Amino acid sequence: MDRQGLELFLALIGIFIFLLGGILAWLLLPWLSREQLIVAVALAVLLMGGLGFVLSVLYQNYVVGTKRLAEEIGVIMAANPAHRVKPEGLASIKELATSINIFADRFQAVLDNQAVQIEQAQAGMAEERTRLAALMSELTQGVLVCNIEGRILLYNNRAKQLLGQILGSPWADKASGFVGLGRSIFGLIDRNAITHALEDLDYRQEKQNANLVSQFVTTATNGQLIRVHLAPVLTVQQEINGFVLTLEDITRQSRTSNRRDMLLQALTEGVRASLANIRAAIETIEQFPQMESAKLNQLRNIIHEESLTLSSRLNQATAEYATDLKADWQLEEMLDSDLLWAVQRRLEDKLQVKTTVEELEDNLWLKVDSYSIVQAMTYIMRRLKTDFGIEEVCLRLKKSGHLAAFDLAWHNGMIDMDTLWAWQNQSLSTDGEGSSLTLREVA
Amino acid sequence: MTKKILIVDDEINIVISMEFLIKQAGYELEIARNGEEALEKVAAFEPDLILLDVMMPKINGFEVCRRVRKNPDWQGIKIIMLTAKGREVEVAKGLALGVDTYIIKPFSTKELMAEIKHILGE
Repeated sequence: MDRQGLELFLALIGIFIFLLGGILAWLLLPWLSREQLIVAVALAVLLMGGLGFVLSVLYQNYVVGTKRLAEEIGVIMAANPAHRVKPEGLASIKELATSINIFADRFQAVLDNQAVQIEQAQAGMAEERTRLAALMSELTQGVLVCNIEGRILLYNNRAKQLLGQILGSPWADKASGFVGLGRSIFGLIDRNAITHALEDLDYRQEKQNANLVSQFVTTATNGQLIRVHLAPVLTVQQEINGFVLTLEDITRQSRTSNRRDMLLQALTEGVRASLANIRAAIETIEQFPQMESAKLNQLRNIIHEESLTLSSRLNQATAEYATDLKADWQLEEMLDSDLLWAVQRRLEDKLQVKTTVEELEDNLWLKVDSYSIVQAMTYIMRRLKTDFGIEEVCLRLKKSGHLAAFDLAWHNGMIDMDTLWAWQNQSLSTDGEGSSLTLREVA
Repeated sequence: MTKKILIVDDEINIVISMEFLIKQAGYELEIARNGEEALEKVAAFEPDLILLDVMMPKINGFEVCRRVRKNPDWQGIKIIMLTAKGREVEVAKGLALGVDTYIIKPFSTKELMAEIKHILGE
């Protein structure tokens, strides 16, 4: 019952009592004197006034007071946790207000603590996001994170670059075919390929296969091959609710692989053919040792000729393989002092020669295949030591135009140019280690 | 009656050895240096057996085999394919085209001669 209802209720009770008093006075009128009646009415009025006062005090303190407390608790809970209740009224109400304030203090402390934790978590998340973005931008592969409907949630620049090449492919919707947050991946990559990969992952998950990555290859309009790895994003219940696509341009890799396959195939067939000719000639001579000398000579010539063909084929294959290796040459950035140190350590450890390093001018950054350079210098030093008895060299590295010159200097021992030219074309491979490259190819 | 063998190969060095060995074994012999010449000699010489290389100018060995097998008059001719092409897919292709024996180079001449005798029913 609200305050107005209660007041109306009390007023009705008052009227009822007043009417009851009037009826009682009218009934008692024949038996009471005038003075007695006045006293009875005065007593009744006083009694009613006292009762009203007591009821009013109780109402103000308990009903209105507790209602006020309830409203203030609502304010603390919903709007302003810093708000406090003013302790007033009867002692029990004051006590209740004090308890509410203590509770409010604790509630506010909990809220403050929660706010600090949320802030820390948000800062942590922002940091993680920045770190993830930095990591993704450094990746050589394109990365896209999508939800289960195929909407892009996250991507890196490499993905944008690679998928830009797919634009215009038969399945690409040119109107929507660009990478952007919230865009559909199906405008860029064949929906069927992704659906198939997701089904494959579902199947593997059912079979509890630990390897939850599926892959397929798609073609860009400019003929480039893009390998796509698809990994699921799983919920706590291990259900797929998104996927991560990793894109890799495998055009060069594929081309190199095809070229090597063809090279190996040609070499195998060529060697087989030559060996067949040699073997047939040898076996014919063995089976008919008394054959005419003209025929014998003819077969001997075949063996000689085919041996030369075989050598030539092997040399050609080696050269082509080396060219192929050079095409994929990965150069790394390196400081000149580091390269000199690597060469020096290798020469001293491997060949037990004494080396000195000429002082460097400035720090020089090089772009080199340090492994091949070390191999090449080791090869030269080995030849100097074994062929010419040179045991001590000076290493010097200096800038020469836009290139760098690596000098290997020694005293007491002249080497003619023909010897150096001959070294250039020999393989650096020694003692079962090193590459099949020649000095000329490394240089 | 002397059996007739046709060698089809553009590699002269293997042909020289094979020619000597086959003649020593007493067979009548013809040589063709490419696929086109091979088909002409099959028609003219009517061999019992063809030693057929794959990699040849003009018409390759697989195509020669296909045409021989397609001709009803040449169904009795046996074919041994002698080739450096040794991948499974190539062997399977040769056998599917009707080659009787597929031999990958390099091979033993003794084993080849034994196979020739066997295939000619001697």
